[in-house]
Amino acid sequence: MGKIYTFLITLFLVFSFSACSSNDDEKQIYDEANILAGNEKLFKQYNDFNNALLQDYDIDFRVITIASQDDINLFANKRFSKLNSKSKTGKTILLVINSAQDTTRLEVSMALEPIYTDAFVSYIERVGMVPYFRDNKVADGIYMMSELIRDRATEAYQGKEFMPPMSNKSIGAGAKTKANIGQVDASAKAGANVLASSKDTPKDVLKKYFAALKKHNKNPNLDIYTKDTQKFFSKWTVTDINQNHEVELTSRCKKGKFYYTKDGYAVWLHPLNPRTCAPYFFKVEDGAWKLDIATMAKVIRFNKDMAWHFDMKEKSAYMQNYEFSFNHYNFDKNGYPYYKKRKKLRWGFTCSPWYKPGEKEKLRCMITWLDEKGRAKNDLGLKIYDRVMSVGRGSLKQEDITQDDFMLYMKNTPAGDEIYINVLDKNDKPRELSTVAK
Amino acid sequence: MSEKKFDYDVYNEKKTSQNTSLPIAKIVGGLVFVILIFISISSYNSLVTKDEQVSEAYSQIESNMQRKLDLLPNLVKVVKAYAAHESELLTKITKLRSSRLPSNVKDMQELNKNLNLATMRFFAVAENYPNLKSSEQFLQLQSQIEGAENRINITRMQYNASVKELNAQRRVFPSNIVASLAKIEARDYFKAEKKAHEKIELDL
Repeated sequence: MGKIYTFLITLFLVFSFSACSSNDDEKQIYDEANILAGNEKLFKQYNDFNNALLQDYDIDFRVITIASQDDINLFANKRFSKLNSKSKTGKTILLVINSAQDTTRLEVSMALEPIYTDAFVSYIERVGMVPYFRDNKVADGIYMMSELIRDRATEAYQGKEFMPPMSNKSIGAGAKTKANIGQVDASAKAGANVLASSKDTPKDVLKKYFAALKKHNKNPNLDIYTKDTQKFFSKWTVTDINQNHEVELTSRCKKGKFYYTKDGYAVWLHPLNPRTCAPYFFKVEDGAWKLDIATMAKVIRFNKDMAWHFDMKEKSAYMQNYEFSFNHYNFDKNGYPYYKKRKKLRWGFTCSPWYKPGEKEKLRCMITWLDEKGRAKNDLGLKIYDRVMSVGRGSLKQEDITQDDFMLYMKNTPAGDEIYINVLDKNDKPRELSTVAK
Repeated sequence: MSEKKFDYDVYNEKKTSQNTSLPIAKIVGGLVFVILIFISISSYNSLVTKDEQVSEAYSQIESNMQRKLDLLPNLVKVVKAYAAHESELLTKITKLRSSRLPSNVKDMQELNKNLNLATMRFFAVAENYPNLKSSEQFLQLQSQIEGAENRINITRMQYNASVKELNAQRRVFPSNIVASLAKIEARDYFKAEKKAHEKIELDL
């Protein structure tokens, strides 16, 4: 009987041990220095992100924090050789952060040496990760590093730069740099002010913003920002890499349009293809249009492929003023937008708000969508970007018609009556259009 | 008659006993010989494998040393651009640029020592030139040089571990006999300069 108990206990211990060790293998962050406590949400995001990195590119990215006086180069190499990497093709990266020596090192396996060269690793450490460390945001810095690793892997994959599979070994490739944890850089938020003018349209503000990004202007108090945005940037870490990335990503967005409300809000919105073109929010403050990045940061999220979507919980809390521009979208449970299925319309067009320079109070109508089979396009002859100037003829003519009045005119004209519309096309050429309402 | 028969039996018995013990000795002797041959072959194979591992590890050091030598032209360019009057440093680096990789460990150690001194001097000089120190060109070069040094250090340790295994096997029986017959020599360790990773003081 005693032997049976001993056997059962041994069996239990063996199973418990194997369960523990398999959990340990699953770990991607070993916080031995305990400097990442309280970042559980970020850990989850990091784990999801890295599982995708492993799945898409077979790259296993691990993080170890230590507080040790050992040489970080030798430590990283030794620890690397003991990692039970999940990569089947020898592609492993290990980030070591030594809080006692305030240094960090990214160790790269031989299979990844041509992709993540020493100079590149040093650059992303210094310019991409350390600025977060300086602001005492070590977990954010690690997450940023994983994004930069993914970006480079995507580039390399497209350029077919990866080497054939090999054993998981490192001979000391990578780079070491000063971590500077908590050592705030006074010059990190420097830059000349960019003034907003009451004559500026949201498009002008956007141009000024991108010019500032290109100059790596990190001043949080730019006049083109709303007050909330200034507060947001005073606490937010901005790096050259973030700024370059935003410029590069947005330079591909050529089809954006501005949507306005009467009460001083505007949105720069793009068609859903490509999904990497995120909307930008603007708000009139102190008599001028300003960028509302604070609200954008609250509600907009990006996935690993940089496709934007809303945080639906935050959207319902903070997005009321900008909802108007998303009326033609529906959103799935994860906040990804998709086009609404349109019901059968009388005319088949969408009229978006537009105003003449200097007449912000009077919103007029610009045609931004036409049903291919609709009457607006086929019978009336409306075209995309037509701006409606007047409707009717003779004594019934309504000049300088607003968006609301135009919609009422189109809606209320009884079947059988003539419709007359004067428009300016996208080249400011006037046209008179007419048809019989049905 | 019976005495004669008795002698005959003894004679036969002796003869039979001699006939059976001879093949057993031969078999045992043969077995020992085969085992010795087997041990010798096994020792020889193991020694050759370890010798090859040492050569492979050494070639890794060579390739990393070459990597570091290849960085010297860039180093000269940077020094010329920011600190052209550092003639002593320029001369030293230019001289090292023309170095060829030596074939023996001792000369390799010497070259490594000189390379380390030159790069340390370069980094010390850079401290006096803020523009140089903060330039992206310098920072990239620094990371490449440090990367090459780290690789040399790691591969040096791997080489020394391989040498340790080989030399240890050469000293045990029967590998010592096999090694001397096969002329598999003991290899030298690649020793790290004690001060290679310490800061040097320079008057500039």
